[in-house]
Amino acid sequence: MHRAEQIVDAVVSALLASATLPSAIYKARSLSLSESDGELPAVTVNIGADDPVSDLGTDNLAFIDSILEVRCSAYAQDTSQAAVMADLLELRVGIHKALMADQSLGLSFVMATRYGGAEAPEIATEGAYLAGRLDCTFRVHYRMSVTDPE
Amino acid sequence: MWGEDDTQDVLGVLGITATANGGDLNVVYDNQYADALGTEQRDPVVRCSSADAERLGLTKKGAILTVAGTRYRVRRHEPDGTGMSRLILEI
Repeated sequence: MHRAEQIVDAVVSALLASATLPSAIYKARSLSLSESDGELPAVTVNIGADDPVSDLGTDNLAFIDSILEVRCSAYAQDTSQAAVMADLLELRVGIHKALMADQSLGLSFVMATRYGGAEAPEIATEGAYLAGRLDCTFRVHYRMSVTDPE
Repeated sequence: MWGEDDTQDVLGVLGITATANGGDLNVVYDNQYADALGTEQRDPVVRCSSADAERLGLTKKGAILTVAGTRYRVRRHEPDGTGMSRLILEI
């Protein structure tokens, strides 16, 4: 398994281990989320761009250092915009704490996990409840062999 | 010429009874599936006579309407200009 996917799995594990986050944590979720099925509030974890630290694509003849972007999206539904915002920001706090507690994510090849900011929250009013999404980004600095990314 | 009595006749056949502010009105109720930012939703809407909406205070945002056993707030009143209104509802 490519180290990028191992990192995403480690992020999911860290979020699932958090006592303050909901149990609805999904890796690469593309299906819609249903409150009646216990899938909300939720956090989805998606792999992002993976850019080598060096312009040449390698820092050494033996290894490559790279920075993987991991996007954690918080989803919530509630009855008012203020409540949705509060739910999303509470999820954001939980995500931040879970991922920054151990910046190696428990992986020997990860040097650091860095806070990458968040998008502006999105609020939708199409349904009976207000729905919101907040995308948070973290950048994971890791190392892999030049010849083997596993 | 089409009038309020005709509208009420149609709503009496096609609609169900809803309540608001202590009064009844006939509405055509729709509660179809909706997707909002990847979350599953219901999109409750009723169609009713604009006169009934005015009479029962349903033209105001936040007015309470109970239909099919669910208590909703009116998010938006959309009169069509011909005597019918659409009420966009929320929980």
